[in-house]
Formats: sequence, C-alpha cells, structure tokens
Amino acid sequence: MLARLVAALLLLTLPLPALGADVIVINGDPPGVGFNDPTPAAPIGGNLGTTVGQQALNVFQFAADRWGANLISDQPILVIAFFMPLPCTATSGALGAAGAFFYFANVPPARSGRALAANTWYPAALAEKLTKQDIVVDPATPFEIIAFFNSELGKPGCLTGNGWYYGLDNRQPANRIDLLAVVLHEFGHGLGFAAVPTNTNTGARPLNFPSVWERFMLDVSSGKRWIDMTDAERAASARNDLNLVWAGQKASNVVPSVLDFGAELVALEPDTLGANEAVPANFGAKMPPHLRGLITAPNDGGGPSLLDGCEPFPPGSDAAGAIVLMSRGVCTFVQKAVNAQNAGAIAAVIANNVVGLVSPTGVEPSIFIPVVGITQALGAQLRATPTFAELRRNTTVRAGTAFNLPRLYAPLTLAPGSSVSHWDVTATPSLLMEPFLTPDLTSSVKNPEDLTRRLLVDIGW
Amino acid sequence: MRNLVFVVSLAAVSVWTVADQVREVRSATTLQVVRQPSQERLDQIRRSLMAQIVVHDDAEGVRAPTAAEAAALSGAASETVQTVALPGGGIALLTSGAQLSMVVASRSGGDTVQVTHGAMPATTSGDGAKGGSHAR
Repeated sequence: MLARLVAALLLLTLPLPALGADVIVINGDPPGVGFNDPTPAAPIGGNLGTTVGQQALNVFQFAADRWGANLISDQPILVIAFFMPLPCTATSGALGAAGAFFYFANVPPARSGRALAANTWYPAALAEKLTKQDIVVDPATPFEIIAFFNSELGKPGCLTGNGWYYGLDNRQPANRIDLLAVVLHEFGHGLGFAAVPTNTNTGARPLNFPSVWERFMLDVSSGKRWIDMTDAERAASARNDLNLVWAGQKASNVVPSVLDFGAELVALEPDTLGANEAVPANFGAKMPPHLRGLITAPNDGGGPSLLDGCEPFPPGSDAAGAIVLMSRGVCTFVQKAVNAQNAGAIAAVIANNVVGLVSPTGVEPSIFIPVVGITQALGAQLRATPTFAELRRNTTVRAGTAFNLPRLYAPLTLAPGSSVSHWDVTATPSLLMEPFLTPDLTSSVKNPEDLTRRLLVDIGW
Repeated sequence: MRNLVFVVSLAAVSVWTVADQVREVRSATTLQVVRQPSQERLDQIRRSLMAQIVVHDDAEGVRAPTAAEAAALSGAASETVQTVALPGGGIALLTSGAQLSMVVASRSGGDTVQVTHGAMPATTSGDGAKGGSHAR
C-alpha cells in the first residue's frame, strides 16, 4: 500500500507535457489589401473585426487557436497566410489551400525529444513537436505551414453573390461559404492530415521514403498497408473505392463515439439481391431498427427525368406507404426527400448516378422519414425487380467504415487533391476532413464530434 | 491554337533566393517570440504562389487550370520536388504550392454552392452535397 502511495506521489512530481500548442498566423499581405483591406465591415457571428481584412484575419487566428487548443507541442507553429486574389469565374472559384511548408526526414532529436521513424517524411510542425526543436532550413523562412485564400470571393466575376461568411459561429446563410470551416479544414492538412509527399497518382515517393501516414493506411482488399506496397500497388489502392481505411488505433478506437450506425437495405421478397450497404443521410429520421415496405420508383410527372423525384409526385402515384426509390441528380437530396415525404413515403432511397455509394447531405429539419443513399447498380436492379425489402440500422458496423476502421476517400477515378488525404464521404455524421465541406459541420476537431484530432494523434501529435 | 503556359514555379525555390531580413513579432497568446521575414520577402512568396495556381492563356488571360491542367501541374510538381541536407543531420523536402490541395467552390443552380477539392468541379450532379462527385 505504502509502495503504491509512494509511486503515485512520484508520478505526480513528474513534469507533465504542456497542454496546447501555439499556432501563430503571420499576415503576409502588403498594406491596403488582403488581411489589411480597410473596407468597413459590421461585426458578425462573434467576429468583432470592423474591416474586411481584420475579420478575415480574426477567422484565421480563431482557427489557429482551435487547433492549438487540441494539440500538444512546445514548438510554435508559424502559419504564413495570404488573403489574395485567386482564380475565379462568376460561377466557380478557388477558395484557398494550406499545407506543410516543409517535410523532414531523419532529423536527430534534441535532448528530451523523440526520434522520428527512420527514412520517413514528417510535416514540419509534427517533426518539430516530436524532436523538440525548431528545425531551420533557412532562417528567413521560419514557417511550418503556408496558407492562401481568395480575397475576391463574392465580388463581381468571382462566384458573384456567394462570398465568405466571417462569423465564428458556423451560422452562415445558405448563400455564403463559412471561411472558418474551410480554414480549419485546410490547417488540418498543414498539420499533417495528408499523405503528402507520396504521389497518390503514381504511388511514388521522394527518395522512396514513405509519408508518416503510410504505416496507418490499410487496403482491406489486399490486407496490405501502404508502407508495404509497391508504387503500382499504392496507385491501385488510391482508386480502391470503399476499401482503403485508416488503421491507426487512436482514431479507430473512437469510431463508435463519433460515427452513427450504418444502414443496410435487405431484399426480402424476392431475396435475390440480399443485404446491401446503404449510407444514412445526415438529415431526416435516425435509421430505424427495422422498416419494411415495397420499394417503388414512382414517376414524378416531369422534368429532365421522370425517376429523379425532383417534382412533386402526382396524386395516385405509388409513393404512399412505400420505400420510394429515386435517381440522384437534377435537384438537391433534400428536395427529393421532401417530395417523397409529402407523397406519403415511409422512407426515401436515392440511387447514385455514377459508380459507388452516394451519401445524401443537406439541412431540412421538417423531414421525418429516413433517407439513405445506395449504389447506381443496386438502384437499377431494384427498378427491374419490384422488391419487398427491409431498411434497417446495422448495429454491427458504423457508417463510413470497413471492418469498423474509418474509410479514406479513394474513388475509382483519382480526384487530384481529394483522393486518399480525406475521410470518405460515406461517414455519417459529416467529418471536417472530408473532401466535400457540408453546412452541418461544427468547428470541433475532436471526438465525439470528429475523428480528425485522433488521426493526428496516431501519426505522433 | 491557343498558347498555354503552365507556371509551376516552386514557392520553395523563390524563397531561397531572397536576402534574409528578420524582425521579431510576439504571439498574442503566449510569450513565444517568433521571427518574421520582411514584407519584401512575403511579397515574393505571394507572387510565387500566384504563379503556381493559375494558367496563363493567351486567349483567356489568367485563369484557373482545368482538371487536366491541374493534374499536369500536380504531376510536374512531383517530378520537381527538392531535397536539402540539413547541417544538423536529416533532410528537408521543399514543398510547392502545386502540391497543396486547393479548395474550390462552384454554383450549380440557384444558390447551391458545392465546396470540394482539386480542380474546378463539374456540376453534373445538381445535388450540391458531399456525395456530389464521389467516384466520379
């Protein structure tokens, strides 16, 4: 007993790692533009800045502080940031980007620091945290992260009318883009949420050193980790839709507290189509334990497709009391669900219009029926064969996982900039580091709202 | 035939070549003292970034790369990464803006805006949500 007490007291005397990290935004803009834009602005959503530039800079520092509060490092993390004109048209525009300024390998640790895994690339901020030193490449470029965002958004000729929302409360109007969510996401990449510098298109690596990510990336088809693959195998795995997962223990352990149960559509009569994965929407009713009904694909009476559910179903359609199947496209997922619900459907099923599963997303509190996405192939089969089926919660898996490991985004056709370095879009609820930002995101980076911080802990944060 | 010029200058290349002018700034939240380069240096990085993310096209002027051009830029970047041996041991890899994952937004109809990564997304799905381009 005394020994335990002494041991406990000794533990209390050990130095604890300082909580938090100092993430500092360096304003790189010249006077009068970007973060120094003097255009007056009214304070909004907790952002007390009184000029456009000041509000933008406040958002950046807020995002930096949010990350800083969730990481541990005694090395300051400098973010060189620019708010500058980026390519735009009236209907589309580059929003911005951030990434590690340097990657390091084989840097010896300072005293009390930890050794980096041999011959492995680490993003600058993480390498410095682990080795407990400022790794200086050039004293005049002391940055760990670089970020640049579009200052022209919403102005004439640049996604006109859809400017930034500078509030800090995630309450952006429908026609605005939440700068905070985008900056938080991009800072995540800069801190190490990316397979960079491995080339995800070819699988090749600089000096043939793996990214620190690769030891945690598992292809469940082959059972191989990326670190053990050839270049060709990595390139193929980057396109192995739904089968590339994050096998890091820290992130995987909190999957049940973050992701909802999965869903499945089970054919009962006839039963030839068996059980099929479905992706619950992030709106509508929670997936019921069991919901049985006939799957119908009613004609919506107009528009470019009669099967897309974009027009209100006419009276007498066979939507009432049925699980209504609709094709993806033409209108929003929410619009389809509203039309199905108004016609008396007990659930809405949206079949993809390209290969792979679709994850319906939107915001509409009035929808009280469950909504799921399925593959294009299953949708075609269900249309060809009228089927009585059960839509049910799958309590053995979590949405967005394979073997209960969270999926990484690996569509069949490589999406440069998106593939591999994001969570997969089948995750429910939506995660900060998915390739498509959705309006339901909060600014939390940790569980139970998000898996992102835990992934960073897996790689050494 | 239009004359397309991809500009893939590396931020890391240009930032190497400028004389060091350092001043000190103090973090608002802690007493950490950090070093900040001169505005001249920052302007140079800013110009370099612009050069990496746009295509100079004789017909259309400065514009964003198409999907194919963005892929070419990305490939070119991977071929030109620079490594530097550090004096204290270890290796630094200098990254480029072209390796960064650009967030883009597009409006498909009404006020629905899709926010995703990579090149300007095609707007065929019409749903404006996160499954918007999955497995496209």
